Amino acid sequence: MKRWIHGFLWVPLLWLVASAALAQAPLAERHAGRGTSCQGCHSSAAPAAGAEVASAICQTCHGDYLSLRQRTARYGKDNPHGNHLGEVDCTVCHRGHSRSESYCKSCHQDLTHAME
Amino acid sequence: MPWNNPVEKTMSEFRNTRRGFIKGAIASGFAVAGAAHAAPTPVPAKWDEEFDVVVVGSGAAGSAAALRSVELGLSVVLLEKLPVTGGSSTICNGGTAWAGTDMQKARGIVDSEQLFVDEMMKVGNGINERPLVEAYVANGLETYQWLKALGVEFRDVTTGAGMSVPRQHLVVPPQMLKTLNDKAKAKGAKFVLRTAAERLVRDDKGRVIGVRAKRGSQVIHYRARKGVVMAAGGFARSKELLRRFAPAVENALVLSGLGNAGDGTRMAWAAGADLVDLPYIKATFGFHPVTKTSAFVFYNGAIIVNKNGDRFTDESKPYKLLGDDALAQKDGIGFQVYDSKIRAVAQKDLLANTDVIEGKGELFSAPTLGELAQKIGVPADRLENAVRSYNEGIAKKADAFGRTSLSAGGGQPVAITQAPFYAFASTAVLLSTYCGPRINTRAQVLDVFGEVIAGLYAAGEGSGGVHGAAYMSGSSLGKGLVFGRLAAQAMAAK
Repeated sequence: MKRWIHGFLWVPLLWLVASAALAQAPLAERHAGRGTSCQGCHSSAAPAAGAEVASAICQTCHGDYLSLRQRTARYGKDNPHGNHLGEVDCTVCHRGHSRSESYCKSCHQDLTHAME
Repeated sequence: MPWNNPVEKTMSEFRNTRRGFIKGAIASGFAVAGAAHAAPTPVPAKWDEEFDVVVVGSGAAGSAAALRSVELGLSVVLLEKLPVTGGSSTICNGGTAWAGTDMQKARGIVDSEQLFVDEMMKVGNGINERPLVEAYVANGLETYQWLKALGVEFRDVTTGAGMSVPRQHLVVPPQMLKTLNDKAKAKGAKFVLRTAAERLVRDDKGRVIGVRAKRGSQVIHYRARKGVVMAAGGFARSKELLRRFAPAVENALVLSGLGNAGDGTRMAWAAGADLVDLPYIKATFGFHPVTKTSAFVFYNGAIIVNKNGDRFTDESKPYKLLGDDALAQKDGIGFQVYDSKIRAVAQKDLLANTDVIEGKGELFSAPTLGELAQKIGVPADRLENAVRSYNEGIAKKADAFGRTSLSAGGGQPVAITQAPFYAFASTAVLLSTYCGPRINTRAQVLDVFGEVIAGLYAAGEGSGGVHGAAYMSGSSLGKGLVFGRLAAQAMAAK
């Protein structure tokens, strides 16, 4: 009986902790954690709500589409940076202040793209 | 005062009886509905932005219209509803149909504009409009050369539906669109994404003078001094419009661009546009239901059998007509069945290559037809019979379904005899709705009386009249490019 109770308590608890650890903080926080201020992406230190970041800004540090394509070459034909949508704006998938999601999944629900 | 309103007074009298209550409820429904009546979109007191040309949609048609406009000295804004560009064009196979090109000549392919026009009319069953087909073909070679000169890469020329000679010139769609869009932006064209055109704005003479659009919650009025090009695709993603116009394909797998919800169709329709070719919306046969990729091995000699192991059609028909036939079979499935001779040829045809299907484990092969039948789950004796009869039909020149060619009268059917034998499942998918606002040879939209709606142009999937009952491979992407370019030229000439 005790074994059942422990099973129902600790297994879900461990699962919750593991999920929390694996879940990614939004990009803005991760950039800030590595010393990039708001101004590093936005043109002002106090950006207005809804401010957008141009892909050219991301690319000054993270490289152009060709180098990104090589970086994610492991996906083969399902390369998020080399596919039939062409050069999609970075922030379509990589969102600063909310959860990042692969746009490819809008049609290809079976894909698993690990978002960095 | 409620009694001042004649509808409400009547309502209250009606409510005295039970039948009256229901009548009253209906009457009050009309009163509520009457409050929001259709009216022309108001012309704004001030336009937020002004251009010569407003293009709605960023597929091939919109991209061609935008670039050609700036080449001719017009200012352009292109509005795209989605956060990505390209529409259906960027995800399609990349076939563009042209006749008389250098690529054809280099391969010894004998073609002519006359043959091209005649075949397009035949594929369209004569329901398409000959002047439009002639305009597409007559401006085709120049458009092809324009694309090449811009740096668009053409990989190969292949066979396709509705053509007796290879006429489908393959581009890599994202490369083509990037070439067009980068050049347009370099010449000053403005591209705005996540901005949905919602209504056309017309002046008191009925001329289209701009677009009302929305970005998030912000309303933006764009003035179009010369014209608006509606290049927003069709309505394959709108279950509502499919149910109304093409119930047979309402539940087909849809592979169209995500934005094709009929926005452009509705905006033009509301402005008085005639809508043509709607009854002929069809799904395209030759796609694997799981990988969602296509391989048209039947145009290289494969036969198609249903889940019973029986052939059910003449495989040389255009693949939209094959789509009708396939959707009538059990589960909408047709297996493409062929031998290693046919496979060798098909593997070299970019549009019949099965590497992707094979990569996902969906291509089956076996040393005998009986074993192949087992692998795909059809009765062995019926599959063997289907192939035997087909081969006999070739020898006697009397096929049970009337097949005399590989595709549209071109090529010779070959007997299926050489092991190993191959098969994979195929179904029909809805790629696009090749119909909609009627245009003339200058890409101007026509109203229901055949008169030009001033200031409104349409091109690409969001226009009707070029295809008719079915469509020739490569002619959809091709016509989008041609009429997008023609729209720009018509506006510049005014």
